[in-house]
This record gives sequence, structure tokens and C-alpha cells, in this order.
Amino acid sequence: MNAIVARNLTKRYGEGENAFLALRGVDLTVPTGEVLFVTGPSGSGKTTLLSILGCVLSPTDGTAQVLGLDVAGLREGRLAPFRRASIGFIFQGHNLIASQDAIGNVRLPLMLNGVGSAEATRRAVAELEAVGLGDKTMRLPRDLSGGQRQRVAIARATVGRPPLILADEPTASLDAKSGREVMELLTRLARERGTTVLVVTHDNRIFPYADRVVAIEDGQLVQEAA
Amino acid sequence: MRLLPRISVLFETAVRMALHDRMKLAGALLGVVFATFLGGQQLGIFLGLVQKNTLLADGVKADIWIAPKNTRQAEASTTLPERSVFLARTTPGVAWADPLLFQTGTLVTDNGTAEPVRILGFDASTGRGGPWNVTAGDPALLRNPGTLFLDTIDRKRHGGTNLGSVREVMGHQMQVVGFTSGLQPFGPTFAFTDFDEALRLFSRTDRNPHFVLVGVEPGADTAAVVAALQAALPDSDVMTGAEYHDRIVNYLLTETQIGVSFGTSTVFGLIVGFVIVGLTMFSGVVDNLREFGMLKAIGATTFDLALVLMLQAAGYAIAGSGIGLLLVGGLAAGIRSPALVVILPPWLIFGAPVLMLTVCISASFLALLRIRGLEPAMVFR
Repeated sequence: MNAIVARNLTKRYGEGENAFLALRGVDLTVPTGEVLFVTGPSGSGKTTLLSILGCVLSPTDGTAQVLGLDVAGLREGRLAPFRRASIGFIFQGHNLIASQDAIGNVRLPLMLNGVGSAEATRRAVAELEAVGLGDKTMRLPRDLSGGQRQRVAIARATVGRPPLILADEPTASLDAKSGREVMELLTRLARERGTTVLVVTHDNRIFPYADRVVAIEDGQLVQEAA
Repeated sequence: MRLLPRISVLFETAVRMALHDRMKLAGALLGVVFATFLGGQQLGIFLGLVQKNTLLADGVKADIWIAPKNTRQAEASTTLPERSVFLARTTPGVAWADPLLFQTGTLVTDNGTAEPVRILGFDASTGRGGPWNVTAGDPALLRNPGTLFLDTIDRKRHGGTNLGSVREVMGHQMQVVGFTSGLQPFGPTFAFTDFDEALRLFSRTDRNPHFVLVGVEPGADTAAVVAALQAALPDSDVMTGAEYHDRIVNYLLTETQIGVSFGTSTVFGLIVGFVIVGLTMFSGVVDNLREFGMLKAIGATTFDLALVLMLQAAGYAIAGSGIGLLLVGGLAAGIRSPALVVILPPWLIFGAPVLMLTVCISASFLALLRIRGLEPAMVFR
């Protein structure tokens, strides 16, 4: 069973002479439960690939099956509830809500999905304990370190038990130790729960946490290694 | 049931985001408070002025007023022929008709100072058109010659008048036999006396009244009586008390600078509030663009984010108009005097938050447009 099947995925920005091809016919298959890293230099198209597979960007051409749903060409009205229910996101800059404490940030996707406040809070606390922040549940993001913020972001992404987690440079703003801790945590939770994880990164220090690493350059997959 | 947690978390997000940036919160609230305060106090003072101008039309109990042609203000510019009273009394449906004289005169105090008074000469034998808000004395005493009622507002100005005090009014010695309270129109206070006494005070040789007050027979159709009176008195204006009130208000609004002046200030307040709230909310969205983008990415819809903005706008409107109304209430209590009354009727108190809600939600549309165009993919950039 595959979590992601992309065929001839193409994305063009702009028109005419200003047109720029960010993806040039990418084929990618990610089996369910796999931890896949996509690496490549800046501007290579890895974030565009992540955006399309995360259903926040439409491809210009090609097909993308995410968790069995052909997402290419679907309207936002259909994609938003799909993202809400099925995909956990971890962003480069954590993107936590500054005015919400750790619990508030973690229970956000649950409540958007219709989980009641008490149940969402209980699950958020449990998830924060799982990422080692059980004693910092009431802290605002500004009162947490970079590594702790990224742990909150991981808890937010995993609390709803989504079958797919997409992470964009999750260690970019962390020191080496924090980066390792974050990746250990993310991959441990994913493996315990059978979650498929796709990580976009150019941090080769964290490659050992991947089941597979693919490289992308000029919008094309150029290398694949186990 | 799945919708409730969603609305609940959006509400929480809206409140926390609004409270998080204290400066922006203060800015938005200031805009609403300013608009409510300026609009509220301007409307309150305007309504006070209207009340003063319609004091006679509202206070005198008459079903129908007959006034000289084209009377648009509280004070008639000319008089009606005496026969108007008799013609009115013989019109079908009329229960009674009494004359009323309304003219500004002067009262001389003990130390010789002349003070203006609005003299109301009514038929003291019937009491119709006589004093209301009586605080001392019996209006029936006005049947005696040389008597009048004054208002307590001007007791000091009239030289410390008491029951039994004698003052010179239009060159005649008049004894104060009673007091009213708060009957001060836009100008000097009312002084009530008998119609014949009023004619004597102004040295009138005719018996022409300024108004004829009419009571309609029980069960009679007031509109039909008005029409009949108008047909019988084609050179006069015949109207109900409410129509007379509206005519004065319409005159104030359309033919004086008062309506324009107060209206401009009120609209200006609303515009300033609209701009401040609009810019503050837009700036708030721009500052939190990544947070809104993240919400979209994790599955919040544009409608959800619009709800966040609407809830914030509603919060600004309710809190700001509440503070604004408290300030207006404080101002009204602080400056309230017989000469200046700030009226805050229930429709103004309940209408202000509704109006501010409309202003704030309208002002949030700019921010909403920004959110509508926000691509969730921006969080990956």
C-alpha cells in the first residue's frame, strides 16, 4: 500500500518568457509507514513538491495520489477538510500561534476537526508529554526554546494521529543536538504509529533517521538511495 | 456537534490574537470608543435640543393644534383670527377648543434687571394648555387676575422668587402663585398665566391667539376632524400634536444648520472609527499573516478565518461601544443642566453597539480580502 504516488508531476510558475518550471515531471512513490527525506539545494523544487503533496498547491500537470485521493485539480473546499483530517504539518519556522500556549497550539487541529474541548485538551496534554514537554503545557511560544517550539510543532502535527506527516526543514533553525532530538522524536512517534513521513531537508546530519533519501535538482529527482 | 468545537477554537484564537497585541487592541478600541463617544454625545445633545424645541408641542395636551399658516417652529410668527376658536368649536367631532397665546415678554426683578420669559396665556377656566410639571401651587389659582406661574429653573434669575412674590411683567405687577420645574425651551423659561391676563400684559386690543388647542370627541376619527378643521380654516395649519412635533424637528433638521452640524460630526466620528478599526485589523492580519497561513495549511477554511476576523470585529464593537457609551453617560450626567440636556434614549444605547458592529465588520473587509487571497502554500516559503 502506498501513501503517495506522484506521476509526471510538473509545476510551472508564471507565463510566457517569465515562466519557470519548478518541477519537471517528478515520479515518486512513498510506501505507507516510510520515512522519506527529500534533499536538494535551495530552489531545486523540494518545497514545491512538498506543497503539492501537502495539498496546498496544485500541480500544473501530472497526477498526485495522496492517501488514495487524487488531489491534483481538487478545489480548496475539498482539500481543506482532507488536510485537516489526514495530514500533519511541521514547518521550518514552527509557525506556532504566538498568543496561544502549548496546549492551545496542539489542540488546535483537533478542535478544527470537531473534537470537543475537554477531549482535545486531554489529548494535547498527552501528546505534549509524549514529546517531553509535559511540564511546559501552559507556556507561550516566546517562553520556549527553539527546540521546544519545534517539539510543540511536532505534537501539533501528530496529535490527530494523521496517516501522513510532512515536514519542511524541521531542523533548520535548531542546533545539532536539538535537531537530533527533534528527529529522533519525530521518527520514533511515526514508527510507533505507522505514520508516513516526508521530510524536506538539506541537513545531511539527520539523514540517518530516514528510511530512504531522494535528491531533487532543477525540479527533477536525480538520485535515490536506500 | 462537530461544528461547536471548531467555532469554539476559532473564538478562542480570535480573542487570544486580539488580546496578544495590546497596542493594536488599544488602537482598535480607541477608534470605536471615539466614534461612539463623538456620535453619542452629538446625537444626545441634538436630541436634547430637539426636546427643548418641541417642549410646547409635547407638553401641552391637545389632540389637534391649529396654527397660523406655515408655522414650522414652536413659536408662531403671527396670530390666528379670534373666530378660529369659535369655528373650531362648531366643527363636527370637536369636543373642545381653547385659545393659547405664546409670546416672549420681560420680567423685571427687584433690582431692576429685565429678564425674558416665554409667556403662555391659556384658558385658566378650563386649565387646557396650562402648566405641567407643577412643583408648587395650584394652577386653578391662575383664574385670579394678576397671577402667574414661573419655573424653578429661573428662580435666582428672577430675583429669588417664592410663592407670593410679586414681579413686574411687561409693566404689570404679577403675583407668583405656583412653580413648574424644568420647562425651559430653547431660550427663556415658560411663565403661565390666564389668556385674558396675557392679552392685558401685551396690551392687546384683539383676542387673537397664536394657537387653538383642540380636543377630539371620544370615538371620533382624529384624521377626519383634522380634515374638517382644515376645510373650515383654510388659512391656518391644522395638525395633530405628533405632526406639530415632527414639523418642528423637520424644520430643525432641514432649515437650520443644527442638523447639518450635528450630522456632520456624527458621520465624521463614524468615518474615523471605521478607518481606525479597518487599518488596525488589516495591520493585525499582515502582522499575523504566517499564523493565518498556517491555519489555512492545517485545514482552516477562508470562512473559518473570516469568522476569526468577524469575532474580533464584534469584540472591538461591543467593548468599544460599551466604553464609549459609559463616557457619553458620564458626560451627560456631568453637563446636565436645565439649559443643556443630553438625551440618551434606549434606541441610542442599544443602537450604538449595533451600528458599531456594522462599522467594525465593514471595516474588517479589507483584512478579509487579504486573508481571502492568502495561499496556504506561503507557510512553506
